[in-house]
Formats: sequence, structure tokens, C-alpha cells
Amino acid sequence: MSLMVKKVTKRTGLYALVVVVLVFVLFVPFFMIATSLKGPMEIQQGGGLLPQEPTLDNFVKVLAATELPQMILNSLIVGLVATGVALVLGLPAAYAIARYQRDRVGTAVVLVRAVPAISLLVPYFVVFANLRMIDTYLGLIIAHTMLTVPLLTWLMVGFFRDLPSDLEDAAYIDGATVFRAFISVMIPLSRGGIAAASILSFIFSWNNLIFAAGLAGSNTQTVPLVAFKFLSFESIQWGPIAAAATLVSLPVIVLAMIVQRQIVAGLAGGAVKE
Amino acid sequence: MQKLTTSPPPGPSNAETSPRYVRGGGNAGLIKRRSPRPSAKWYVWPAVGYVSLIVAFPILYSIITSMKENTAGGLFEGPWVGVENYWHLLAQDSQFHNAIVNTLYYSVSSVVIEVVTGMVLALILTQQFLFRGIVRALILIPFVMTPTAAALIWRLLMGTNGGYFNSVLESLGVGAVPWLSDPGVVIPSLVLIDVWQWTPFMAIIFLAGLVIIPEGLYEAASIDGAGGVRKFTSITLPLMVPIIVVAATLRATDALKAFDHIFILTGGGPANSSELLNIYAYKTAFEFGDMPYAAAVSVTFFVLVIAAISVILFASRRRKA
Repeated sequence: MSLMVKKVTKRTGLYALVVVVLVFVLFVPFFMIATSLKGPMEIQQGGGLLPQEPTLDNFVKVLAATELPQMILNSLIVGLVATGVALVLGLPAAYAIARYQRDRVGTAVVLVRAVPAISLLVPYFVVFANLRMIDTYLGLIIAHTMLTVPLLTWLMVGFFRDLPSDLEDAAYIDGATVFRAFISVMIPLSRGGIAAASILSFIFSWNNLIFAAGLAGSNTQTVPLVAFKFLSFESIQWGPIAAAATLVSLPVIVLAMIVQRQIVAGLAGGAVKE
Repeated sequence: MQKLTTSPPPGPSNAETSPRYVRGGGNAGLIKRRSPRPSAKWYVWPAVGYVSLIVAFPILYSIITSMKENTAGGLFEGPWVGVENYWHLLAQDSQFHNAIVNTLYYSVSSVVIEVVTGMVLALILTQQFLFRGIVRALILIPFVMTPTAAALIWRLLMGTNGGYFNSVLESLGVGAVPWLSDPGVVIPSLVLIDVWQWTPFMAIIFLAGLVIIPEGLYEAASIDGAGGVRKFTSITLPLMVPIIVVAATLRATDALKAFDHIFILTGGGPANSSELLNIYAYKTAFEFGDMPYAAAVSVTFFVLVIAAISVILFASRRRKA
């Protein structure tokens, strides 16, 4: 009987821990969404976490009063192109690193992450200012490729290493060129990994603040910059702030959940295989 | 277009263990199989070339810029002052020294705490429980959520007057905490946010390492009478050390460069108590407009990050030997 009690206690303890984990992880997004649906009266009164009378007013306010729609477009353009560049450069590079043991190159690409963004931002700003490239998509995209290329390469090396080389060998026996093998065998096989790596790169581009703060102007503001509209200390408007945060972060959260399994595999693989 | 439909030959499924020697021909029955794989080593060159250009060139440019004096005329106009900016920075700039201390305080705390919380979370996730798959997916959220958006919410939560945390604490009778307004509390609060954001990342990496450990080791230990804690310290931890080092290094490279939530929540305040190197460099460039000095700060920052990573790697190599 005592063994049974021990077991039940252990199970309860485990589930209690799981609940703690869930609260820890989910409280912030939950609070964000709940607050974004509350009208100003409710917020004044305090009340509980959940909105009694949910309303979309805050979203309307944010979309109308800030330039958020334009900012979303800008972030999309910059993110997609930066990810595209990462794919074109990074997939072949990851293939060479994984299949041809170019490990030192692999380490070098990863070391690039050690460069603080500000160390790049200052020269980028100076150079771009001289070339009149501030507040252009091109400038922002170049800066963002510093985020996407190393990340995507690092993730794809892990995915490529996991694939058996049998099918490629079969292709070579058939007389295929490396390029054929790469395009017709490796890439289709690693679709999941490519999707995850691309989405994660896009997410990091979308989330980036520092390059936008330095290099974007009124035409190319990206999404994180919307925060600056809410930083005045006079009146903190909870509803609109939460609505803005929701609009900014919900797309990437949804994207991540779609490929979450591959993201987890990629992160784990990239790190454990070092 | 020719379709590739041959079925793969049977045998080991890994490039490293494919047999190089197969039966056939002379040489006592073994010939070296000519590797059918043509070389594609050059596939790295586009990426390497591009990244080198986009990184090396700016760093060089930074170094040159940092050796000039700040003038209104534009960067190439200023007189050459050599290492004067660096001298001022290292010897006389107390704000810089303050930034270094803050950065070290923040990064070391974050990484150490995250190794612990990441390991705890990973251990929880190795257990079997209902909806484990969903939980594993949900923990990604803090990691991918736009830090700026999260910072806005943290502001609502941690604001000293009327922030959600404080109103809850007050209603419980505990009293308000000056999360972001007290110089002594502000960095721990920012570290808390960092821990929230990055623990899942660490947990995912640790989880990958934990599942590799063979069950047999634990069973043998149980037979010998070892309890849970003993199993952890004598089996799990020693085997996980390499992965902990990798995760800690990865995390440290980013923690040293922390920017987003700090910039949004405190802007380096109150009274520069949360001003980390990144923020100091940014302010020097974009609020004070002193590009050469900012270049000096950012080059020094870069050197410091490389040094910190080298120290970590060096320390871990020595432990292995």
C-alpha cells in the first residue's frame, strides 16, 4: 500500500511541476491576449485576468493610429528576402560542411554570431549614410542577412548530417552531378528541416530591433519599432499596448507552432552535434 | 528529365562508414571502391565570401573610424587621432566601466540560472505525462515571441506604480517591489525576463542530450541501490557536461549582447544601473552622435565577447584533459 502512495505522490508532484512550467511559460502571452481584449473601463477597474466584455477596440485603435500595417509589410519584405538569401547561400554551404567535412568553415560561420550587432550597426550606419542607403529595404536586408545566413547554415548542417547518404550514392552511380544530387535528392528529403530553418530565420529577422532602430526610417520601419510609440510615461494605455504586442508577436508564434517539431529537432541537432 | 529510381544498395547508411573496400578483382579480393562522390567543397564559398564581406569589411571600417576624431563634417573629414579614443575609453570613461560591470553581472547570472532551470525543465520533459507533446511545443513560445512585444507586456507587469505584479502583491499584503525603478533590483528583474525567454532553449538542447543516455546505466545503478539524486550526480551530470558547455557558450554569446528588452524597459536606467555595453554603444552612436567613439566602443565590445568565449572554451578544454 505504501508503494502505491509513493507512486501517487510522485505522479501528483510531477503534474504539479508541469502546471508550474505551463504557468511560467504561458502567463505572459495569456496576459497579453487577455488584456488586449479588455475595454478601457475594465482596465480602470482592475478586475480579474479575463475580460468580462471582450472587445476588439484596442486592435482597431492600434491599426488606425500607428503605421502598423505598413510596418508589417516592411517586416515581411525584409524577412522574406533575408531568408531567401540565407537559403541560396546557406543550403549549399551546409551541404558542403555536412558531406565534405568542411568543419572549420562551419565553425567560422557560427563564430560570426559572436559579433555583437552594434559592432556591425555602427559601420553599417556610416557606410549606408554615405551611400544614401538609410531607410531603404536594401540596407535593412543586408543587415538582416547577418542574422539569417549563419543561423540557417548552422541548423541545416545538423539536418543534412542526419540524412543517410545512400540515395545520393545511388544517384552518383547513375551518373548524376553533385548539383543534381543536391537538388533532386537532398533538398526534397530535407524539406521539413528546410521549412523549420527558414521559418526560424524569418522569425529572428521579424523580431530584430537593433538593426531597425539604427537603419530604418519612416518608410521602412519594421514591426518591433512600434514599441516606441507606447513608451511615453504620461499615460500607459494597457489595452492598446497589449493589442500592439499581440499583433507583433502572434504571427511568429503561430508560425513556430506549425513547424515546432522540426524547430526542436533543428536546435537540438545543431547544438548537440558540435 | 531522367528520373532517379534506382533503389539504394544495401549496407551502412552513413557517409563515414560506407565501405571503401569491396570484394572484386585482384589484390587478394579487395579493391578500393572509387568514391562516386564528386567534389562540391566549393559550395561553401558563396556563403563564406558574402559573410566575410559583410562582416570583415564593417569591422575594419569600424577600426579605422574609431581612430578619428568626431567632427560634424563627415567621417572622413576628421583628423587622425590614433588610439586616443581607446585610451579614453579604457582609462577614463567610468560609464564604460560601469557598462562592463553591468554586462558581466547580467550575463553570468543569466547563463548560470538558465543552465539550472534548463536542466530542471529538460528533466521534467523526459518524464511521461499526458499531453507531453503539446507541452514540448508550447515551451517554444517565450523563445520565439518577439522580445519587443514581450518587453511591452513585461512593462505592464513590472511597472512600479500600477503594474500588474505589484497590484497583486499589494492585494496579498506583501507590498510592491520596485522591479524596474530601483538600481539594485533592476538587473535581477531583467535577468528574470531573460530566464523566461531562454530557459526553453536550454531545455531543448539538454533534452537532446538526456535522451541519448542509455537506460541500462540507470538500471545498473538502481540495482546497486542508488537513489534518484545519486543517479543524477554520478551518471547524468558527468555525461551532460559537454552539452552544458555548448549550451552555455551559445547562450553566453547572446547574453553578452542583450539589448531589446533592456532598451525598451529601462533604456539603461535608472541612473545607468542597467546600461549594458550594447546599450552604451548604441547611445553613443545614435543619441550622442559620436560615431568614432561609438566605433571604438563597439570594437572593444567585440574583442571582449571573443575573449569571454575563448575563456569559456579554454576552461572547458582543460577540464576535459
